[in-house]
Amino acid sequence: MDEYPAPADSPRTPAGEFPADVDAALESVLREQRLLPLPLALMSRILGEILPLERVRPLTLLSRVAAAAAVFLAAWFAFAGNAPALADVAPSAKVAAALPSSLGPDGRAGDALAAADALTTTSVSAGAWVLLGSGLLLLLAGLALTIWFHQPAPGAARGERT
Amino acid sequence: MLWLASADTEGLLQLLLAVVLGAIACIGLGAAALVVRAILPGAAASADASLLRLSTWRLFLSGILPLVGAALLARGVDLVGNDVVSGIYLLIVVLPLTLAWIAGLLAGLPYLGSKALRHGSEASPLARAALGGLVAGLAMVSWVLPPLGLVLTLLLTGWFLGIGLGALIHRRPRTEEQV
Repeated sequence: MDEYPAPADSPRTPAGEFPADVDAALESVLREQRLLPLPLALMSRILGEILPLERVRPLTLLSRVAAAAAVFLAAWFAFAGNAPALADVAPSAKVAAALPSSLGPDGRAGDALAAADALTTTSVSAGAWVLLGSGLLLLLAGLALTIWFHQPAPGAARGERT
Repeated sequence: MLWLASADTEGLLQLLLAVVLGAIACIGLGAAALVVRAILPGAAASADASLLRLSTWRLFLSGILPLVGAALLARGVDLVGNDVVSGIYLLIVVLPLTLAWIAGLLAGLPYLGSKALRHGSEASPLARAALGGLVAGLAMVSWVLPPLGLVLTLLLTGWFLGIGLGALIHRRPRTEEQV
């Protein structure tokens, strides 16, 4: 962690290390100022336990909060976003009923219905693509994290639990 | 005892039968894990190493993310409605994850059993594995409260999957004895 240059005005111990309680103090200040809501603080604590973000100690808290927000956003997008709405589009009969009767002769109405069908098909495909994309993203993220977790940490004792 | 007499006897018998069969199935799952451990000692050793190497939170994370991802993919594949895509999904996603889950069971069930026993590390492998299966099965009773059951199932399945994925991804270097 010494390879990250410290700002000139940052608190440093005589040994050249960041004090261990800088992050805790910053978190405490943010919590006292009610700048860090409790659920986010809990998430940042959990993610801090999971991810070895202490390698970027000056940014640890910021990194945790950003990671927690990213996880929340991804979960919201995956489960409560627009994907179900896109998949649950109105059938073409409803689209046809909603069309104004002044479209003209039957040929033009048929064209409009075909266009509505095409729009419906596109929406279903969009919903499926959103689900496929987010699912693939989560799957690959999990596998990448697994590979990362099982990389031997430099200097770690053999068999030590990480 | 009046309520018992007035209850539907046939329903009670069916419930009792389901409980007994479920318990036998859970114990059988533990025994099956023990059989696979005996047949594939290398896979069992990799799963044990994976369980011991990572902290619980990391096991959860590396298991739950692929699990949720696979569930979302399943919904997407269902929306696509193409048999070829479904076949590819089963072959590329479901099959490897199922194998990883089974690999996780090899280490996870005996570990659960050893934690449930007072002197778990001294118990026989069969007792640990069978009790682990029973404990995991009993945990599913939490589905009487669906949110709790969902969370517990997600944690338990993700934990097994995390162990198994670690075992499949991080292969132990072969020792001279194995060579």
